[in-house]
Amino acid sequence: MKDIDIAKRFTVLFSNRTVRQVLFMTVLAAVWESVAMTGYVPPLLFPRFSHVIQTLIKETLTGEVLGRTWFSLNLVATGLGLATISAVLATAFAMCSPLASECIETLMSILHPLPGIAILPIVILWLGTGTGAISAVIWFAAVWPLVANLHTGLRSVPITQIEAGRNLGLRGIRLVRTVLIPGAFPHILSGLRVAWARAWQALVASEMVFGACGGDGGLGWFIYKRRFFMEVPGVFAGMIVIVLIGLIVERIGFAQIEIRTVRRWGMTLE
Amino acid sequence: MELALTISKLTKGFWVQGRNFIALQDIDLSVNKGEFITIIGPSGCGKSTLLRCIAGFERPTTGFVQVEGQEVNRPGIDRMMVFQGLDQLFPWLTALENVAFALRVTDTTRGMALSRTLAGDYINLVGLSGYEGFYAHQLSGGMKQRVAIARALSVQPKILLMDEPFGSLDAFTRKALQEELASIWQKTGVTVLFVTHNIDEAIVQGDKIIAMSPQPGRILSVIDNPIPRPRSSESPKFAEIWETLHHLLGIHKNLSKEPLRSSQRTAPLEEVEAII
Ligand SMILES: Nc1ncnc2c1ncn2[C@@H]1O[C@H](COP(=O)(O)OP(=O)(O)OP(=O)(O)O)[C@@H](O)[C@H]1O
Ligand SMILES: [Mg+2]
Repeated sequence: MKDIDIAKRFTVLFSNRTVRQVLFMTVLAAVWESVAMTGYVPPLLFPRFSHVIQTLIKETLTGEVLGRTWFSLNLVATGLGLATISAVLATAFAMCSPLASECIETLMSILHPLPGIAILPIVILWLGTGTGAISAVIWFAAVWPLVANLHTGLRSVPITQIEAGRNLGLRGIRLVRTVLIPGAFPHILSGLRVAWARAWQALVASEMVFGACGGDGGLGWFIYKRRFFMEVPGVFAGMIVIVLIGLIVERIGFAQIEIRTVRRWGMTLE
Repeated sequence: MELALTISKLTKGFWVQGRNFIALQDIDLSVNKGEFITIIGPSGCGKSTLLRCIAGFERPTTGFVQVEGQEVNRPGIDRMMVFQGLDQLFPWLTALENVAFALRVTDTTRGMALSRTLAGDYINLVGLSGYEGFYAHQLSGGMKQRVAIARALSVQPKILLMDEPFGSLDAFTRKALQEELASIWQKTGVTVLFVTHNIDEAIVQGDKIIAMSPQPGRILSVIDNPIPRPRSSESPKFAEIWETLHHLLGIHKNLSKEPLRSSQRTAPLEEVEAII
């Protein structure tokens, strides 16, 4: 009788997605731990999971992780902020005339496929190897998805809603602020999501290239340093932090914004 | 009787693929304050274009539109439009907020709290109390049109322009909303221009019925509706006006050439739907 009860409870628990995910990750960690424990792999290159966690805790306690994370997030915020401002300006310009719109679209189709990190060599030549260069790479990685989504977003607002706004005497900047931007919000949000993901990747990648010359850095630089001193658990710890931040921003940040806005309004795309 | 609206020698052309396409030609129309006018005509005859010229979304090519003696040259809250589509509400606002938004942006001295209170009154007026907090996607088609009517009325327009507002609703909802609109019209005394595809609707609603010709759109006839409100299709004069409109709109044109075969007897009604 009791066995059935437990089995039933387990089935209920297992039907929860989050529970399944946590369970899967635990299994993964256990496999990792046991593979490392067999001794067939060199512990220097493949440390035990518990060892990685210990290192992570240690680095967190010394404030190292927090400091590096703060540094990285600051850079991403700067790059994303500048990208957002540029995207708004570019879109405003595109709205001025069909010709301007065409120019922006052409520019976008040429430059959008280019990964942000690909412009690093030229940025180094122009701006040197400081944080300015990293911000520029992040800016480049983020600006095109933002422009693209802002552009399509504004054009996706139903004409009747725009006319309903104009009927109320709204014009120019007021019409944009009260009708077009909220109407384009689903696209704006998805643009920000893509921009964030690309910015975050570009940041880590460019920090690793700069590792050797910069004096200070973020999480990429942290990993780079740990590799340099062959502290492999530290390398893994850095990777875990990068994954965690990605997850927090996406799953908690963006997902919550989506639930409170686009989903509540029934404006989900597709 | 004071005039609410004067349209004089209005012609509207569009440039389509390098040639001038005349949508409306020589429209002359005077509407008294507080009148309920219905406009009927075949699809593409320019009914929407006419309303859009009055609303100020389109500029007449020649001629002019005057509201209480003032020439119209841009959209304004003295002429509020209720559109046919079900996507005219702002989906990021609730039913109440859609109305409150209209109140707030048209008078910035009015605070948020006052706007919401006033909006509540208009939501009640269209019979939607209890649905204030619903977003557009949570409302039925009929409810959306009610909110749109509430939003348009909230800014106290001189003229309410309705472009087939009930066109996408089922017959029951349409009937209910027609009655509701009639009672709102009586309460507020607003002047209404109501475009419809539906002959019955045109007769039941309109004190004057304007019949339009196919492209280029002209006014064929203005019929004064003698049936007292509340009108029903059982009223003896109803059939008479129905016939007149039917004839005016040219629905019998092709059928009169040959005698009706029994299988064709139902054809005219279907054709009403097809042509109009
Ligand atoms: N912006 C425009 N550019 C070019 N032609 C237009 C434009 N707007 C309307 N027209 C043309 O003007 C004519 C009248 O259009 P309108 O939408 O006013 O018709 P309608 O009577 O409202 O038809 P329906 O009953 O189908 O809604 C149509 O032939 C249409 O093709
Ligand atoms: Mg129309």
